[in-house]
Amino acid sequence: MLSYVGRRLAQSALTVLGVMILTFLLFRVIAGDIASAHVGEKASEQIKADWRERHGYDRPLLLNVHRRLMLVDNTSGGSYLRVEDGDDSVMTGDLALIPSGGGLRVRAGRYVFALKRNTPIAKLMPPPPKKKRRPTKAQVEAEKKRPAVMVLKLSNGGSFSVDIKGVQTCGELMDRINGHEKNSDPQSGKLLVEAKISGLKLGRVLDSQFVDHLWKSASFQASSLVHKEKLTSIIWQRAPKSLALTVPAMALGWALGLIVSAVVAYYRGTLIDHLGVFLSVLGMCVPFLAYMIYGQWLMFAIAPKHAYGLEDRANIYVPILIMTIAGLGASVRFYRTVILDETTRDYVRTARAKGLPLAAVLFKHVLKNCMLPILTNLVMAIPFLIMGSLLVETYFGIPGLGDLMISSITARDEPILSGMVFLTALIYTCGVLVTDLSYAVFDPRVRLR
Amino acid sequence: MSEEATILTVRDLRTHFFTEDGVAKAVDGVSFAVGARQTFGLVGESGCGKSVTALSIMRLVADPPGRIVGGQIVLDGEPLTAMSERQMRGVRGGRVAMIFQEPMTSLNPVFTVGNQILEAINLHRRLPRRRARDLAVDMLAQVGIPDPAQRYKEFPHQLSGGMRQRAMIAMAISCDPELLIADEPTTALDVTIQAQILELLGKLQAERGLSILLITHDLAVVAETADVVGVMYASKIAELADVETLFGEPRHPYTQGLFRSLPRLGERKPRLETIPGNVPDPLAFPTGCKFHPRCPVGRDLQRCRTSEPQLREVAPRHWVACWECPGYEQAEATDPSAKAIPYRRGSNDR
Amino acid sequence: MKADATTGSRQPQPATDAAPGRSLWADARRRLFRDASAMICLGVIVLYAWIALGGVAYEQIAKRHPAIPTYEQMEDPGQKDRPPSLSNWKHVLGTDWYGKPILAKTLLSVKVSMSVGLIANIIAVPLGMILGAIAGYYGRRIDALIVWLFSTLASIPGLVLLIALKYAFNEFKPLGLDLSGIHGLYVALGAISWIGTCRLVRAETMKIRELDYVLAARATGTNSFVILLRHVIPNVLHLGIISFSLGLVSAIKAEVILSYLGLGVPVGTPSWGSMINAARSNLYMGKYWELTAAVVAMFFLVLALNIFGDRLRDAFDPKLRTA
Repeated sequence: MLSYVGRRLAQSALTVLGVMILTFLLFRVIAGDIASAHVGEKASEQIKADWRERHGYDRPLLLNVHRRLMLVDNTSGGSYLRVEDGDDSVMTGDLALIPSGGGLRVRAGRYVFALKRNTPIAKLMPPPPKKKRRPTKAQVEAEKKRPAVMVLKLSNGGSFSVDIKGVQTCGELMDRINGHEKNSDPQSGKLLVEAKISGLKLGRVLDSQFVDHLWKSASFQASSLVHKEKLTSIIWQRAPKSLALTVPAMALGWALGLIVSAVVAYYRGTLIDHLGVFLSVLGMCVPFLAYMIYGQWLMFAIAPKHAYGLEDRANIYVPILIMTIAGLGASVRFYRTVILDETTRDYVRTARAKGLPLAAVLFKHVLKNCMLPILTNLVMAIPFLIMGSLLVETYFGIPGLGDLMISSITARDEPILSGMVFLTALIYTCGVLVTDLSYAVFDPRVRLR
Repeated sequence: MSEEATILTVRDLRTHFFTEDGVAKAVDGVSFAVGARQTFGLVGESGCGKSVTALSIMRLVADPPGRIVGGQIVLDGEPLTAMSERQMRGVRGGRVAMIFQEPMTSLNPVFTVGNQILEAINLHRRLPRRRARDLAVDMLAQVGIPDPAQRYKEFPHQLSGGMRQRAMIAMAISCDPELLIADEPTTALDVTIQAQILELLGKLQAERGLSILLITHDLAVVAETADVVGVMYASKIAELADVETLFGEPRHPYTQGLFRSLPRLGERKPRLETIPGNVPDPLAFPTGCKFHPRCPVGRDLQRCRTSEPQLREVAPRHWVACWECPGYEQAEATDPSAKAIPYRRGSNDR
Repeated sequence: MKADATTGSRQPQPATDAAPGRSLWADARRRLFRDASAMICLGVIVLYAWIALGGVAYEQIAKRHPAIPTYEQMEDPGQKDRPPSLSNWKHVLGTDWYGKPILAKTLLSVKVSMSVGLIANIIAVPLGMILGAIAGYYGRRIDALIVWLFSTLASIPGLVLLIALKYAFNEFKPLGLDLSGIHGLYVALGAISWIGTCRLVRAETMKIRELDYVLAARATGTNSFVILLRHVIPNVLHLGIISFSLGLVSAIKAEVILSYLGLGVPVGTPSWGSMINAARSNLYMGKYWELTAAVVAMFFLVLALNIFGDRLRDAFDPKLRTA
């Protein structure tokens, strides 16, 4: 028994890890850049890069064995190093040399793997947007004629401009900056601004998006990108509202479903049975959206104040009712099948041969054996209670977790979305684990393996 | 109860199944009688209707699609077919008990063995809790289960196949029934366990005056344990006699075919004999005598093809349903269920 | 024991009433075709399939013949929001906010629903079957890997995962495929559906693996791949068919919900989901026709698929086979 528990725990842990990997792939790798959604599509590359750095989206994906182009200001003035476009060329902007790490006197560019002197300069810049059509010959010519100047404003107040036109590789850029005539201290001869490639630091290896994601998922540290609130506090606020909706709906649906299906199974073969099955099938096939929309409309016709929002606590009854009725068809069908399956078993025949009345057979023998699949079904549904119903919450204006999920999609609020999906998966995995372990309680065959 | 008394009378029983594909006449005019302290062996191949006969006696045939459409079943003077469901429940387990082929699936896996025996006891007797429990444990002991108090607390899957069957038997006899119906009780067991179970049944019969209706397809089992044998084929009884007579001079071609197909020790045969063809589908029985398509005698005979022979008493207490059987022409169609054949193994042993 | 005089002849007898063997397929087919309700539902499904094909044909024709309006061209601001009327055959179900006839919208949506359902399942079901068979047969590590894969996916509730996938696919264009549109929908739905099939097939394969005919095949030295192909796959094919029919229903339902949320088909493509979305507030103004048309059209398709799927499952159920 203990080894079984141990095995199941290990499996669940691996599954949770798998979910972390999956959410990582989905939300960080595949989803692409979300900076545009938060600072605007038209914002300059600099602003976007700055935003990304602040929120950790510019780090390398797996492990931080990357290097960056760095400009270090060796003067000791009062303000900070600034790098600006000298004219309307975008190259400097695209290089996005943003303040990083060691104070405001260091500016660094993008993380590039194996950045060396002969790395082409294109790697230091963001990939060109695919929407742009290939430039015509005239445009290419015009681009070539444009001056490209980088203005360096030092912390001690001085400044100089570096001509970076036609730079092909990283090394060339570094040389042009380092070799600039104005870039040396008259007394010591040292460089005022030093351009170099950052070195590898062992301590920084784990500063990657994957590790960050793992950490944030496991510890629920994330904060919303939009509201600046912590994930945990948001969940704390919204969860009760979701639960107020889903728990009664599930309990009611379960009880009602069980009763109806027991009745239908008892009268097997008669009109009641056929009618019950017929209605269940019909009920299953009506789209959930229809239940929701028509249901609310009905409510609106009767008592408009209670049809939307959560100002009045009673407003929650309508969505609960709608959810219960919508799910009834499927539950009845499922429970009925389970019950009928059990009634065809041999031990039922034995029980009747002993002289047990049919009702007692159903309630004592059959029910206990049915409990297993029925409870499994129920326990598996518990994790979803927390998520609320995405559709119902948005439609009825209930500010629960489901509503949060939808809004975080539109707002591309990645930490919240990722955190919620992870939370759901975690709860679900726990639910499965609990179910499997509780089998041991209900089914003596498992217990004594 | 005197040896002459009849415990169970089944007269012209007809149980039909009404399905989408037609009416399957699983049991169509079966008559026999079981006497007190007697073991009646109902033999036949799979699909001949013997299990349905047993279920019909208990009125446990699934309705729909099955239904007893005719005939009478009388238990020690009381007609079972006319009883209400409530009365029938009192009979089931209390006066007629039944054990089944598969002891694993026939016992509820989530209740202990003891619990299930207790349930049977509580249905038919009013005993205080302690006494009932003691009785259950005692039953387990009587069927030869070692350490019965421990087994009482165990679940079915913790017992071996033979012990499970013993537990089923314990459950069946716990209310001291008059008749035990055993539907293929040993088919799912090893040969050695088989022997033990049959021995147990014999012992219980002697100790408690139990009558047993044993349903099986195994001729060897019947030869070992039965007093009277009825051979069923395709919803009817083909031959009915006491075991010595049946095995000594079988008269129905089907019975003869069955015996011929048994290999015998010491005999050398290049090829085992079989009865050609297959058991007919109850939805599409042949016309006339149901055995005629496979019968070496009647296959091409007009009478066998067109009309169905009834059971006639061709010799004292030996019934056969076959046109071509010697003695059939002159025999009378007496009712085989009027009185049980008063044969008991011990007294008239071979 | 004395044997009686009559003995049967020793010649082999012709099998007088040997019925021809009935395979699972022939049996299932027979049971299905006899079942009136199953055949009616099949008819309905075929009807919808024809409508879908008609939709495809219509669009092709409309592109080439300026006289016939394409879906975008059906806009007619002068006719907006008209209730159903019998005066104009085009308006028998009313018009929507842009003036497009609801009848046309509803019928054209069939194509989207059915194609999404079909393609997603054509991807998912074979994938699930293959992975399930491999997992069930080879066991141990490969099994652990595949179980881990689908456990991970399964632990995120379906709708949430779909939404997450669509969110992720927003700008994803691997290998030239634009996943942000309808193709993303195919992939997303496919990614969800394979799990169920895989589980079923895996469980069944684990049972089949222990059967004697597989043991016999291995005893004669047949390699695993051939065993899988010849012995396992044909015996789980019926599960694939059942999964397909069930998956079709869930894919259609899922597409409607996603389109309702704006995450499904691209804007401007007719779909029941977007119809429901567009029409939900109209109900309060008494404009019921767009919503009702979409709901009813979807209801009948889902009903037919559900019932047919049920009958299909019963037809393949070995316990219900008659002798």
